Order: sequence, then C-alpha cells, then structure tokens
Amino acid sequence: MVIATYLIEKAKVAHVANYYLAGLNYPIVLMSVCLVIGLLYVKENKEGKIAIQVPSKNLNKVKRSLGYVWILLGLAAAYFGLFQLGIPKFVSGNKDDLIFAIIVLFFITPVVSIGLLLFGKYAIDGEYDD
Amino acid sequence: MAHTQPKTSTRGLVSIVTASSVGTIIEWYDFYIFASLATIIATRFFPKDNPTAAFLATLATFAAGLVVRPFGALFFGRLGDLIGRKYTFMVTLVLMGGSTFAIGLVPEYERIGFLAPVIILILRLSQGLAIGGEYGGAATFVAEHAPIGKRGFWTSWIQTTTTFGLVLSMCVILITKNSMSAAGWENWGWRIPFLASVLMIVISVWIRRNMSESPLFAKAKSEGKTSVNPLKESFGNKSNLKVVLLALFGLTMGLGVVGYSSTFYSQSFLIKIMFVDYDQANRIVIIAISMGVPFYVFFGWLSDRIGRKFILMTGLLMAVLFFRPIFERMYQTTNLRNKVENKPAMQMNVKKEMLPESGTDSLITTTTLRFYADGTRCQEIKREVISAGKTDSPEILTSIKLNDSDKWRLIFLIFQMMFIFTMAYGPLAAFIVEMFPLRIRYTSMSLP
Repeated sequence: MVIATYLIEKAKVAHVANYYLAGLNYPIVLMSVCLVIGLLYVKENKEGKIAIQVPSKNLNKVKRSLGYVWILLGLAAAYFGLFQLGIPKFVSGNKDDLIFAIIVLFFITPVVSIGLLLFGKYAIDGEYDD
Repeated sequence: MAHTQPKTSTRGLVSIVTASSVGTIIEWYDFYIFASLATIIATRFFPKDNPTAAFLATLATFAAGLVVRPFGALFFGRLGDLIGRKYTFMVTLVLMGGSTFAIGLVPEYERIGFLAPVIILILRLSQGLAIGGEYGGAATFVAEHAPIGKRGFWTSWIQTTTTFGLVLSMCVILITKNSMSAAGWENWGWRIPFLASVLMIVISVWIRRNMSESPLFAKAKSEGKTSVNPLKESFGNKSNLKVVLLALFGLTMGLGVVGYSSTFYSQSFLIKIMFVDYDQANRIVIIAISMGVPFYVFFGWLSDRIGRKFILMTGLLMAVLFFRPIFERMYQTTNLRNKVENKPAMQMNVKKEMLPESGTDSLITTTTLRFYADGTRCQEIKREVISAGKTDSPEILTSIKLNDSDKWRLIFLIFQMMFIFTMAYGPLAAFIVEMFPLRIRYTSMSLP
C-alpha cells in the first residue's frame, strides 16, 4: 500500500489520465510473479502426500532458466528500493521522509531483494527440479 | 508427514479452534487498528506541513510491522519449538496488547517532536514481532490437532481471524467515533481503540490459559524428536531454507498482496481517491468483507477434497485478471462526471476570519454542497489563507455521500475481491503447515 500510494501520487502529478489505477500496477506485478513461481515450482502437498508428477526435463529446464529472471528481479528490487525510493527520501532533508526511507532501506528492500537473489540461485542450481 | 496424528474429538477441536482464533482475532485487531486509523496517526505523530509525506510515512511504519513479522516468527517460532506452542501464545498476546495500549498513550508530535514517530515505529515493530509469532503458532497448533483429511477445513477457521480482526477494528472505531463529538474524537477519542486492546488481551489470556499443548508437539518432545536449534535447522539447512523461500515467493507474497488489495487498499481507495465519506466507506468495507468470511471455510473444506494448489493458484490468477477492472468500476461509481447535478439546489457558504497569530492574515473557508439527481451528495470545503495580499494554495477537502444503489454496488464489487481472496487464503494455512516437518514447523512456516 505504501508503494501503491506513492505511485498514485506520482501519476497524479504527471497528469496521467487514469492515475487512480496506478497504485494497482505494483500489486499486480507482484501477484503475477507469485503466480508464475507458484505454478511452476510449488507442488501439491496435501496431507504430506506429494502429488505424483512425471519428471519433465523441459519443465526442469524452464525452472532453471527462470532462475536468472528471479536474480534480475532481485537486483531490480534492490535498485528500485535503494535508488528510486529509499535514498532520495533519505537525503531529501525532510524529517517527514526519514521514517519512510529507513523502512524502505533497512526492512523492505533487503528482505525482498536478498530473498529473490537466493531463490534465483537455488532455481539455477536445480534445487527445485522434479 | 511421517507422524501419526493423535485423535482429538470434534468437541475438543472446536474448543481448540475457538481458543486459538479468539486470541488471533484480537492480535489482528491490534495490528489493523493502526492501519484503520492511519489518516489520524499521520496528523498526530508526523509533521503536519506535508500531509502526503506524513501519510506515506505512516503507511511505511505500518509496512515495517509486516516486514518484521518473520523475525517475530524466528524468535517465537524457536520458543514454540523449544518450550511448546501454548506458552508462546501467551507471550505473543501480552507483547501485542502491551504495544497497542502503549500507542494509545504516546504524546503527539507537537509535544515531543521527532521522538513521537520514533516511538510509534518501535511499538509498531513490537506488534509485528508479536503477530509473526501468533499467526504461525495458531495455524500450527490447530493443524497439529486436526485429523487427517480435514486439516484444510479446521485451519481455515484461523484464516477467518484476519477478517474478523479487521472488522472488529473498524467497528470499534465507528462506534467510538459516533459516541462522541467530532472535536472529542479528534482531540483524544481516537486513542480509545488502542487503549481498549488491553481489555481484549485479558479476555484472550483467560480463554487460553486452559488450552492443552499440541499433542503432536508433546509426543515429539517426549520422544526427544524436537529440534534443539530450530532456527539453524530452518535457515542454516539448505533444504529447509529453499522451502521457506518457495513458500514466500510462490505463495504468501502474492496472496498477501491479494488480501491487502481487497481490504485495506479498497478502504483507502474509497476514502482518499473516490472521496467517499469516511463513515460510509468503512461501513461499505465492513459489510463487503464480512460477506466473504464463510468462503474461507468453504475453500478450506474444498481443498481437503480436490487439493489445495489448484484453488490457491486459481484465486491468484483471478486476482491478476479482475482486480484492475473491479477498481475501475468502483471509481466510475462515484465519478461525479457520470452524474447529473441538480444545480439550483447547490448551497455555498463563505466564511472569512482573521488569523489571530498574525493579525493581518485571513482564512477564507468556502463550503459548497452539491446535489445530484441520483441522490448523491458532495461536500467540498476549501480553505485559503490570504497573506500579505497573496493567496496560498488552497486546501480542499471533498466528501461524497452515496445513494443506496451506489453503496450496494460498491459493496458487491469489494465482495467480489474478497471472494477471490478467500479462494487464495482459505487453504493457505494447511498448505504451508504441510510444507514443513514438525520439528521446525513453527519457526519455518511463520516466516513466509
């Protein structure tokens, strides 16, 4: 919601026609990434019984290849969090922006970017292969 | 899962789910009261000269509470895996209640300066730590009592607590606000929902004091099968860490966004983008999300029959496809350009007053009330300060009161998002519990 509100403000200032929907771009991207990862990597695990799946070489190749995408996403999250959101607010000189900057720089960005980098590395290494 | 599930009677399960859920509802109440009162917190604990920055900082503080949940999970998860779920629950309850109560006592920015937002941030982080330990613990606790083949159904009741907690927070705010004058609410009344938390925590502790320990945990402990270092096992062990990351990025990150978009963001969208009257917006959200609650249980039950992944991913896909059109439809419902104004009925009142601080500056307040053919009413309050012959940028406050038809249209639109969310969230607790082995379950599953 933080980033959504920020995006709406930016769109409003830029006089974008349907600025009110700008805040949805970020959640929809996040949900889409989660959907791809969930569909490809997550296995049905009801009552501990792993769903019977025929190992697919092609699917494993796709999973490993996408590992590079997750790493790129992690780097993009780090860039966006640090250089677009966090640092500009941190050095703005306004006390109002300081709390926002601290939270983005020291909480949100590290968790998301490091997590994605690690996830990508594991995917490339075949840790999620069938 | 390799462990044999001890049998708990249905009556026993109801008692366990009730005790777990009541405490979790109250902890979610404590957690959400912050977001529900974000606009007030922004004006009280942050500098007033930039309302947008203050609101962003408030939301960021709210987000910080979410981000530290994993660390709360690490700490309380370790505690839960070492000493048991029951006692850990008590600690999380007291920590959450104490933090929320303390927020209600913090002096405003005007009195203590920058210390105000810093204290609020620290208390918010405490709340995040507590809820991190609570939710994962409650889901684990119920799952370990639930019989094979019904874990989705029984844990789905824990999933309802997040909505109940939100509804409770909004109801308490509405009742408190409407039981006093506007000035009273603005001055001190807004603190009451925070202070009320201590009563709710006392009730929860009383209900939970007779809870029995999780039978699976007790059995594992007696057999010496618990982990001596669940933290290291969860995150130092690659095979567990990769599952944690998968649960985070493949499930909970996206599903969490679905939840917050359909609840909090809807509320914020109604008030700040669509300018719906505050009380009316909250009533709309309360009704819409309450209507969705039974579907958590339905989809939890369904997941026991047809599998969990299919339902979760379908919910996520529907959110990706339909949320944007739903929000567009919401916006157009109150878009005044789509309505026919009854211009002769318009009322305008202009008030000019000298500002006592300067002696020369004046404040002009223009209140305009517009009426529309379909029963919609729009109030606009414009405040302009004239200083040394120049007019500063006016502050404009808009509030739209909807007709019944528009109100129910919005309720139905938000309900559609809630329905999608219950699909994505109902089976989630069972799914995540089943991803991790018992010895590190509390620690690991709380993180995502």
